[in-house]
Amino acid sequence: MPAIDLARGPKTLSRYDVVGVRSKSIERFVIHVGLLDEDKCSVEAGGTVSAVHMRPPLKQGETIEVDVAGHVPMTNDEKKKITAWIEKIADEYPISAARQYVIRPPWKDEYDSNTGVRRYRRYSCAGFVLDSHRQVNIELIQIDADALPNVEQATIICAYPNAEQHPMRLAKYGLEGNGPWKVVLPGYVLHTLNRPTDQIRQEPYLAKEGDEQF
Amino acid sequence: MVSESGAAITPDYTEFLQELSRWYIETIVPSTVTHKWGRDWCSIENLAQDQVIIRIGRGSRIDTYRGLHVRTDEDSQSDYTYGTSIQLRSEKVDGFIADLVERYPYREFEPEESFSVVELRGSVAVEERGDVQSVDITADDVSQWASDQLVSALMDTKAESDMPRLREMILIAEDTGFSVEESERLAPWLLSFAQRYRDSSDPEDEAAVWSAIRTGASMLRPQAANLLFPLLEPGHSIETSLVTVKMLGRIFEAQPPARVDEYQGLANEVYQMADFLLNRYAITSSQNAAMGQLAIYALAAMASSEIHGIVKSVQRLDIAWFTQQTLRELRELGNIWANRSVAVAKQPRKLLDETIQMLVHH
Repeated sequence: MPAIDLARGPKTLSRYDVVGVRSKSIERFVIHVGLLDEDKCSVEAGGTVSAVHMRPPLKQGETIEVDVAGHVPMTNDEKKKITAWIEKIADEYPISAARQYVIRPPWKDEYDSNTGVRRYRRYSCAGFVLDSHRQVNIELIQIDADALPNVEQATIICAYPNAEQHPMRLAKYGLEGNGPWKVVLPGYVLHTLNRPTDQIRQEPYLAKEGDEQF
Repeated sequence: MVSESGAAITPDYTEFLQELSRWYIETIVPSTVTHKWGRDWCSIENLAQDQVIIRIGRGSRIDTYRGLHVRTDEDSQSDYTYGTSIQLRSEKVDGFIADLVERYPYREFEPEESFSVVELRGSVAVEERGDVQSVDITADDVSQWASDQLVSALMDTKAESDMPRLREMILIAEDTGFSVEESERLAPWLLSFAQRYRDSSDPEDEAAVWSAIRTGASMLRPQAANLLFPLLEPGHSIETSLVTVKMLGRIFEAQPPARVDEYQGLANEVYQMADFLLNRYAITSSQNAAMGQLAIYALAAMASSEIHGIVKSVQRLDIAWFTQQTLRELRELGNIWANRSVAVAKQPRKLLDETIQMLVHH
């Protein structure tokens, strides 16, 4: 299954398929992605599914309305690896705290300043999906700054509607100044999945301008 | 403001929602909070990317509103940086909404607005921020404290008399930079807190206990890692043990030992945990599998020669996904060590490489 717009008709999804939410006000703009947190189910546009996703906090089994979906077919063993990985990190996100969130880079470790010991990892919603796939050796997107397209502030505001009024908050999420920035937007995840399975597994997607929409 | 159906909303109703949203975005509340007054109720649900759904129930009628957060206090970290304030502010949530309900009685709601979806975006104007002082949290905002102030407050003998406040401080400590001296004082206290509250029946303590373990453990030099011993004792919550063994691995990942079996006492404890978990029945549980892998990682990071015996147990298990994931994580440890500015001692590195090879050739 390539990535799909669920408005075209109901689709059967499997655990850890990627599900996405579109903006209510900007056509085809994907504002959020997560992983399906239930076994096979049929979903249509606007339908609800159980998801594991970085809101923050990391929510497991939470019902969200979805508009788009995509996946790379996974074996049961790969799904077990992702499940075990989630078990290992779940304690780091028990309650809502924006400190758990980061936009750029898509994930970032926080350390004790004296010892260098890791405390927890911050994620964007897309970063969480990317890291989950890394657990099964799938690099969905090239996340090096050089490889990512520039994202203008106006686009960031589409994804984070309060961004315009709150530059300081954006700075805390890794977006200092007025942009443009190299950011992994949720829509990119759908585009990487909209490729042949072999290709998804073999090479990370090179995101391009406009991929924020799907 | 109009509903999606285009119908106008009575001014009072609009004002109520605006004020509710404006207040709501000023603070942090749990993902879903519900407030009840007799048969009536109001629930506020956080959604992804700063979206909010507010539902108001009056008897059998439910009105649903959908909006976007526009938090307004950009100069303060307190409103969004730390979710730890949640419990502290819950009472204020109730008080504030009750006050709003009193000022904007439900009887003014128009029946035709039932089940309407109202876009609040834009109605929560940023320029109105100066008027929003309903919940003044900045004056006593723990997140603004200096590290020494936080250490003193946490270690105050009276701190446990105000558990919501204490939990908030513990979570904030995880994002605070402490001096070496402060860390030396605070780490034992945090780990002691975790030990005392790990079996608490209050679910709100859980996040603070886990955070205390992460922060306290992250402050430890390897020589002090045995402070984690009590938190590895069986018979307590599995989550506590999982966080502890994870942090043990991270302590030695960042501060590798100088020689093999330098921390034998600790390694024996972790070995027992791994040995207990590495069987086909236990591994069926994803949580046990996760803990087993974390224990293997910790043994490898602390350069325990017990790792070879444990890897043989993994081989006997012959569960492909478990072996592959263990191998992947040990390779990651190898990469972390390889990228250190100070080279890892020869023997621990050799032990790790041998372990990886054992798994590769399985």
